[in-house]
Amino acid sequence: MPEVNKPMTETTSRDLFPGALEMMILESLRRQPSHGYALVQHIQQRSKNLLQVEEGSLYPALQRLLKSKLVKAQWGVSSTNRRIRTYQITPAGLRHLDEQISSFERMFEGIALVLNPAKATSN
Amino acid sequence: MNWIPDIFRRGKLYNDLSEEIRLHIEERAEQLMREGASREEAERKARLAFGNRTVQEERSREVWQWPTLESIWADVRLASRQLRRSPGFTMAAIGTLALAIGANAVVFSVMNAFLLRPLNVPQPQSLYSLQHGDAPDGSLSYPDYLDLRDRNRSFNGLMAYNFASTVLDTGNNPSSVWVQEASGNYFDGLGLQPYLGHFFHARDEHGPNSAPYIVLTYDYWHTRFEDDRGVVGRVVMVNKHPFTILGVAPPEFNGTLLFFNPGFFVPLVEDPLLTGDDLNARGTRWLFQAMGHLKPGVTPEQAAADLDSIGAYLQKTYPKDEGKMTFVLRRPSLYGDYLGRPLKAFMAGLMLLTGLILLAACANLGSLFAARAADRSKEVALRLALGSSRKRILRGLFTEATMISLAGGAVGLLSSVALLRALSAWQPIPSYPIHLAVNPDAKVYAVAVLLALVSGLLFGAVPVRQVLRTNPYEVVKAGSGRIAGRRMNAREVLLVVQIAICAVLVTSSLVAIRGLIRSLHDHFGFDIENITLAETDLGMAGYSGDRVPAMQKRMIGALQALPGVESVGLADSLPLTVNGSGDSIVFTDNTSDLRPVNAATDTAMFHISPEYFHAAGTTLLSGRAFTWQDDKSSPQIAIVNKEFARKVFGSPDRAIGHFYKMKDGTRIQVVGIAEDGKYNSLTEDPVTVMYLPILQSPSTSTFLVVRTRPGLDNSGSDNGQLQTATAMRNALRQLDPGLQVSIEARDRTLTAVLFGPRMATISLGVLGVMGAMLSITGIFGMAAYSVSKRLKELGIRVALGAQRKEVLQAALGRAFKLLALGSAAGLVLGLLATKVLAFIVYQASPRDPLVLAGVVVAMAALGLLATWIPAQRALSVNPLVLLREE
Repeated sequence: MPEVNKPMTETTSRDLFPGALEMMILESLRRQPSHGYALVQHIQQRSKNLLQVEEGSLYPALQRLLKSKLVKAQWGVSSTNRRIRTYQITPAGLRHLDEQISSFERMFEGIALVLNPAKATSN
Repeated sequence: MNWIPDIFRRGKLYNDLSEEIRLHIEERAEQLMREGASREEAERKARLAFGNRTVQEERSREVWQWPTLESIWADVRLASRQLRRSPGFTMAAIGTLALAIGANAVVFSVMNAFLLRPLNVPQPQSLYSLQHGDAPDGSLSYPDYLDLRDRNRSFNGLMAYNFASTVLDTGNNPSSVWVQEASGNYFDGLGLQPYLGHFFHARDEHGPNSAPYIVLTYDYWHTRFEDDRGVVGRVVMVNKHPFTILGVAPPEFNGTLLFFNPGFFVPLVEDPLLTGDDLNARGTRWLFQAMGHLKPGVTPEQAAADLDSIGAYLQKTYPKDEGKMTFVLRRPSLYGDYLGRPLKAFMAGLMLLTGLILLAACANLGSLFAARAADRSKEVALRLALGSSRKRILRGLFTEATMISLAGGAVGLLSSVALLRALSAWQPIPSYPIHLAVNPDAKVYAVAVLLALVSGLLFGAVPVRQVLRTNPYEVVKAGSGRIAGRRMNAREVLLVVQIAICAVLVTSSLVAIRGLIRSLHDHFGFDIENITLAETDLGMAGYSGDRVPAMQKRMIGALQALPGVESVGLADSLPLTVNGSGDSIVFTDNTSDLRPVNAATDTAMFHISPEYFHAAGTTLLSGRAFTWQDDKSSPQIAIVNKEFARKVFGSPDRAIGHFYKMKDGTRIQVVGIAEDGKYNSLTEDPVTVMYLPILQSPSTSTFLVVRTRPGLDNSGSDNGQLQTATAMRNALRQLDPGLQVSIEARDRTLTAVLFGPRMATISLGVLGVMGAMLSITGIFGMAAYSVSKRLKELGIRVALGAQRKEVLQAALGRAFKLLALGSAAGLVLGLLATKVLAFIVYQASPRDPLVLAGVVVAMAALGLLATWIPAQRALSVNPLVLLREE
């Protein structure tokens, strides 16, 4: 996956590393299938607005996930009677998410060790 | 690899995406409205929150695309849409480039065929021909050839050949055909295999006239024998002697001299029978050329040294016959340096000029592109503002440039192929088997495509800086009027360069054309008007000994009796014909050691009848003409030309009545002096010439020079010439029906001599016209553009009361200044360049006031022509309409 990652727009590339957005989308979809707008809302709320994700940048990421068959999409009607396109995570998406999360955690741990070795060893 | 089904689903995918994004923004806006924002405010905020919708959408689509190829394809489609939107620009650009690339393809193809492509024989790279060290000429005597062949240690067999014009008769259908007399080892030495039957070999030669065999060329077999495979073994008559057809040479093999395609090959030892040359005469160099494959490891220099030592030996052994004999090795295909050097120089010059044409075309297109980019600066700025990258915009521009260059290249190549085909099929000189096989090959196509791409890059690169410096905010704010300023200068420089190049081309073509026209009106030492020639060889018709002069006298008498004929002269050869004349070394009277090294001069030699001078129109400066009494029984006499008198006797006055010596010691008295002329080529240095009475040294080769009365039966017009020719043919046929006579107007026979200069002039003329066309389009483009840019300014000027003159000056003054600058530079360069031309084009003098004036007038006329329409437009400016527009 990461190699298909096109460079993000100038505004988001500062904030997110490649693949992060996809990971967050998959995680949100694991909890609940939803459409693009709801996904944005969800991610912004969950991150307590710490992550400034430009709404539009969600769509290239969704297309990449669609293409890799990690999610599937279906047109439907929402509870508020809007026409929406609902995304749902696939089994392959679930597997991919687990792998990504564990590799992300390892990476995060590594970074933390480098940034703050004392704290890490005393732990 | 699931991109293949993706391609077909793509339309739906993209639609879904757009819809989804639209709904997203809508939902956000509704949300904002619920929070109390006005509709407008909500929609604006929703769009802001979403970010650049176009970019995001494009990026989303890219996920599904096959990245590089597809974006190129998209560029191509965009570019073709842009180009279709301005068909005038597109056609002009493609046309310009097609001309330039076509010209380059033609010139390169000719150069490729003549200079780059090796001879069509196995291992052509080790095949070298012999050329004398002191002159670009390879002729040898037969004994010389045998000694060189047998004594050298450098060649794997030395071959030799000669050309002869013969009459072939396969049964009551005699027809003239050129034949190559080749040594017995010719085909084996070249490593060729027959297409049909077999070749003759070295073992077939047993002295003079011992091998009456024929090998047909494929082409001649095809045309004359209609591919009849039964010809092998058939006996045919050549010059009334029986010869057996052995076989047919492979297709595509037409002898080892380019241009000249003989009908068939006969063994060299048959030459005495066919042309009467003496195989044993060591002093007569009648063999055309000798050549051979170098042994492995031998360099051309080593081989030449080897041959030189044989030459020294021959000179020592046969001092009476041999002069200093040194050799250099050259390629056989263009007769060494004789054709090779001028052709190389000329082709190099031509390649340079066509290269300049292409450069001029690129400059032209470059400024067109720059103007186009300037016009589109608003569009570019908009695209930049909307988030397009500069790279993407440049790629678009280059795509347009490449598409135009490829289209232009294709059109140019196609037309050049048609032209080259025609050129290859053309037989420029009637009665000589001259062919210019210049069909293009893969190399030509590759070069054309390469040139197209390179020129696309060149002119596509012109507007790059302009795009890179575009500042979207400035452009959108300022309107289109402000992009002038410095950037115009790059285009102006291009225009000056282009005009200079075009002026070079116009100058050189004018110089060439002027030279040719002069050369046609020059006096060559004989008349051209009202002269018809009849050429025959009595030897081919079976005459020999005393029957020859008797028949010649009867022929003169018969033609003399024709109505309208003023006088008839006879000669064994004529100046400025392809065969040329015989030549001989001569000595001053007080030379006793008659070795070639002591010779006073090597002089051309014509055997003529008494009336020759009058009939040919050669002026006898002093002394007397020959009479029919000057025969074998009377003392040997000669008429010499002024150059001969000057060179052998010191001055023309001391020549008459005095003697000089021939090779064999014969003393010859000079009885007259004739004017100088041109004998072998128009560009030659003064040549020494002696005329000898035909009765003192008879020859079967017969040229009858028939002078008709001027004005009578409209001579000069084709019809008159035709009547004379028919009457002459009938008269001669009555004397002997078996005589093969070719009759031609004298000016026609100059075709061969003028062929080179004419081709040069035609090619230069074409290049000149192309140059002129390019400068017209260039100036027109520039003038039209600057007028259209400044229309508003001009309108204001008119409104403020400017006169027509002032308007014109404002609109076109700059264009004319550039034109003058470019023309002046081009004129100077052109004059320098034409020094090169002087080698090929007779009297191509660059310091010709007429040419100088011609160039100035031509360029001014081009300028006027090109600025006419823009000027009209500038003058018809209506300030009211214009000011209302913006």
